Amino acid sequence: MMKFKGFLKILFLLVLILAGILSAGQQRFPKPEFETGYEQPTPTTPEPRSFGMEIADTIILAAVLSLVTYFIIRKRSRRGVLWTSIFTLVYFGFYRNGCICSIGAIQNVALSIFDPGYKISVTVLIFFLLPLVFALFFGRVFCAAACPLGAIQDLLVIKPVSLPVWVRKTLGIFPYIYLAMAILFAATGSDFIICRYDPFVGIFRMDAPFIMVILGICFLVLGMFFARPYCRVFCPYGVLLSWMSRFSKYHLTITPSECIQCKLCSASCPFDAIEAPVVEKYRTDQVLNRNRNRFIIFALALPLWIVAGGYIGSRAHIFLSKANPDVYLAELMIHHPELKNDPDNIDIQSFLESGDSFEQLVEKASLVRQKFKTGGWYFGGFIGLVIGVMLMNQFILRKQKDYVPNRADCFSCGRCMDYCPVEKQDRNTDNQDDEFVNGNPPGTAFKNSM
Amino acid sequence: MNKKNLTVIVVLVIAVILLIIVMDFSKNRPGKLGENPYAYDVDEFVTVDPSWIHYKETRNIPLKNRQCTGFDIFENEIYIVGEQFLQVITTDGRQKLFRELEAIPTCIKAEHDKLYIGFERFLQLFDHEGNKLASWEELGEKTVITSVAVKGEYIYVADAGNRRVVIYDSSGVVKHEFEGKSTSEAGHGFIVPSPNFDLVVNNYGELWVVNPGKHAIENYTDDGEMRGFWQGSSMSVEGFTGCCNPAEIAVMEDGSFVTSEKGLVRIKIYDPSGRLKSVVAPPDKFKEEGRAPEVDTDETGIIYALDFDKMMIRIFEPK
Repeated sequence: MMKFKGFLKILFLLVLILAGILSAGQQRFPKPEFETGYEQPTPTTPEPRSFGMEIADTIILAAVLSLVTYFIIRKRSRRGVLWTSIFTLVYFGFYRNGCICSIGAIQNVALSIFDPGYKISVTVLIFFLLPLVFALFFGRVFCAAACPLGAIQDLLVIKPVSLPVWVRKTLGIFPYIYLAMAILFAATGSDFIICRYDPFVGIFRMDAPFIMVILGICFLVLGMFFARPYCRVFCPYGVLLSWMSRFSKYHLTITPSECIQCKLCSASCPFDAIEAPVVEKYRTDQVLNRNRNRFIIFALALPLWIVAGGYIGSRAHIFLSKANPDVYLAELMIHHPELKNDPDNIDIQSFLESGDSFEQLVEKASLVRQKFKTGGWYFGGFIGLVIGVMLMNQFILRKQKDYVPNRADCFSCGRCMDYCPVEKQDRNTDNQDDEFVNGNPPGTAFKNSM
Repeated sequence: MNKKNLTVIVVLVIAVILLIIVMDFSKNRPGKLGENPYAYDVDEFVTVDPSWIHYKETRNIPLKNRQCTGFDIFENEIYIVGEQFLQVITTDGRQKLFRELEAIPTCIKAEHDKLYIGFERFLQLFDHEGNKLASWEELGEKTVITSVAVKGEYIYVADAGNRRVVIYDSSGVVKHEFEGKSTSEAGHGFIVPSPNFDLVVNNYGELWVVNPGKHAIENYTDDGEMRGFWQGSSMSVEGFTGCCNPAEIAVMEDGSFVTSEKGLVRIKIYDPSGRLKSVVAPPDKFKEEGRAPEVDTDETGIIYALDFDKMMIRIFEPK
């Protein structure tokens, strides 16, 4: 244990020194001087990082993920997770201004796949993959304390309520829709909606459009009663993490030994991510047969969901494609040709000065719209698949004897471990053993020291 | 508050959040440029306090829409170069000489015995009748010659493309070149974001080079060592603004500098230490966001400005 603490101290020191050296770089040119009261607007995205600092960020992410994994799997320390999440909030949130983040990296990856001209940076790729790899082995440790968006919400959980299952299940579809839309818009080069509607980035940068301030406040207030609303109802990266986490071999366990079914863990989890044991008396043949039949019916209906979803998605391509700047501009110039002479219309004036012809613009817009039509099929089909599978899942009765975390939904925050009486009992026993090893019989250390 | 009510509130807030996102998404399409947050209103700087303006425009000489690129004043005559021509006119506008050139010149310096005409990559020498005397070797692929000055045996050429000053001897051999770099903080090197890179030699034989990216005018020895400089970044009348100003300079008999700026076009006079003495022409005299006029002066203190936007030589005399 002492060795590990020493290692942590050295690691922390090294990170500090590295950050100090790398941040010593200077701007090549001084900022223009304005002596006339002009206030320079803050850029909407942080300044580009030097390659060295990008590497430092990657190392810090890996270190944080490793540390959280240690706290969850080995140390079983909620306090450790909490302090790590505070570090994450300060470093990746307020210091790094919430960028780069693994959630937004989905869009970079999608764009790099569909647009050969777009080269994704190695750092972005690592930020995208590393949490997924950790989730595959250890569950959603990224959500526990390596995500600044999760951290800021986690710290504000005050009086969480448990929503009815049907509400949770319904809300649970939104992250899939958000993921599919984010990929569709990124793949067509239209927009990075995850970044655009990141409700906390304005708080991290202390600068946001009014609407995003409202959105951020809504999320934080909501999060006091409905814990981590962004993670549970919106986060598209959470979808990918939950897929990985389902297969995690070393996921967090609530109790270190045998569950005594006290239900304390279930009450402690603000995310409704703990599954109760299935009462055997409900697993009658009649129930099982009925569920099996319904499962088969819904399984057979699955292709219909996919086709129906795909059809609706493709029909929505005209509306969705309006999000693309070229399509938007082409439509604007077709419907309002008089705007070409409007010097105040910056969109059109910028286009006219670019040297491209109107025909070229229309051609580009048509290509984009075609991409949206194809993408709409995949988008809708995916949502149909998700709905179909969710419905099928309602009829699966698992054999489960203890309270266990739902590997897909569990954020590995460690609250349940902290509440587990078995855990506390084991700790007390360990302490007593330590005292005995030190020469004192269990429970007599205080007396002897008198 | 009971659980049912809380549930309803939570669902309602989520619905509101979704509504806000959908409404914003529909209203603010990506790429739709609204109000420019970086817009900077420079209107207040277009007019200059009249107490600064010590000159008035007395006359001008239209240039018949010829595309001019540079000029020089020498012994009451105006030497103009432009799209493949050399023209000499008197200060009252009478043409003395017109010769076609084999390429488009960028700058000219008239001396007693020769005319030094800079082209994009090379220098040519002419006599005062417009006959070519010599053509010196090209300076290289990235070269963009923007200015030429002469001191005795040395000919100084400003190469904006390579951000350097090249020094020739009178036979056309490159003797030295420098980029204005040194170990001191001031010697960053020439920052030349656009082909506006001017240099002059004053009556005391000092070489002064504009470092436009730093809004500075720097004095160098023939070895390329910086001897001194002055600079001033400001939107107000006392300083320079934009990416590359002053774009053009000239020197007066007493060593004062005549400066010309682009963007917020204005012509001013600074004393040799960089203190603003007066304004020759405020921005409202020029086209909005226009090119910097090339400037020169004669021994009487009259300022000549080649206004590229209005295509005329404008003459400013002290009030």
